[in-house]
Amino acid sequence: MSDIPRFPYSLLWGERMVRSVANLTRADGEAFFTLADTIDIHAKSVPFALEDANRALAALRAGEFDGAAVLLPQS
Amino acid sequence: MKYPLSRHSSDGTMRAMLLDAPHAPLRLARVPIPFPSDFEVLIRVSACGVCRTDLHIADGELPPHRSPLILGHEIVGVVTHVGELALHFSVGDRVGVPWLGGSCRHCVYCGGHRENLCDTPTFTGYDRDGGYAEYAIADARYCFALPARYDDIRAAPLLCAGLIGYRAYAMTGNAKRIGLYGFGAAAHIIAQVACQQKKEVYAFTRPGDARSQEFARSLGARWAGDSMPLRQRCWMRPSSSRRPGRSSRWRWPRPVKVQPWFAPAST
Repeated sequence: MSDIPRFPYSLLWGERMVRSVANLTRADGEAFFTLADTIDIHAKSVPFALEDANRALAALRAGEFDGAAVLLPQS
Repeated sequence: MKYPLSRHSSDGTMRAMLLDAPHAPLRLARVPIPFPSDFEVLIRVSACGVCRTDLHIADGELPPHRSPLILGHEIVGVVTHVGELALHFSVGDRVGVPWLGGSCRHCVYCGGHRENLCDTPTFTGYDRDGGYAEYAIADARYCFALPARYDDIRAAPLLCAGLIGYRAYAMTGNAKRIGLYGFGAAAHIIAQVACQQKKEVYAFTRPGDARSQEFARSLGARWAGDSMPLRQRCWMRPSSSRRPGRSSRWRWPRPVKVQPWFAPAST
């Protein structure tokens, strides 16, 4: 992880907030999947075979695709 | 949702991709299929998302907590065995396994429904083996039932990119305009959620990443463009017709120097 870049205090003035997000809670999951069941989320999944996991990681690192790489261990 | 039971391999082993050490390529190997105890379930993995956190682990930025390690914390699969205390799911259920795979359940954070901040968490694909394998063990208390409308391959990214992205998105409350910095897996999911909730989405990508900018616009972003250094003063003045409307309340943001930045458990 790298340092957060500095920025002028004036951008934070006015009771603006900088806040981080850590992990998830059970409640997040229940809320999100309840919502996801009422709307259409078209995750763009790019499939890879299990043994191609290194290729999937390399493609992610290089930004070769939009969306998300997904391994399919049973294929 | 009930699925047909899967069969174990005849010799009790499974294929898995093992991380032996940071910077080493993952190694395909046959390892014993684990067996669930207590609150655990054994899952036949049908899909597992590849998250940027996996890259941080593989690169040693997040030092692996075990060796060898099976990465992967966006797991979708079918329960094939349940531990004696795992009453949350039954054999044949489809489940999703997220990054947070366990917590102490008695600290002040866990007691306050903020188990994401537990000091002794168990992370899937980090503290315990994950889903880059044919089978995985998970604590059923931290697994989720998944909406049937999403098939396995489209459900997998929801388990981290979607979930943790949603946690961040929820913190924006009633904000009408949402800026997404970086348009990776999480942003492409949350952009869709935000747009369907009538929010205005502004997507900032690496300079010159026209493909991702077009992708963002195709998903409903009102504007997509470069994150640019301070000296490039014109960075928020695109000629695109998708620029924000001339609302009397709108002000072009002051230029900000944007540098690459990484955070743990982010996509």
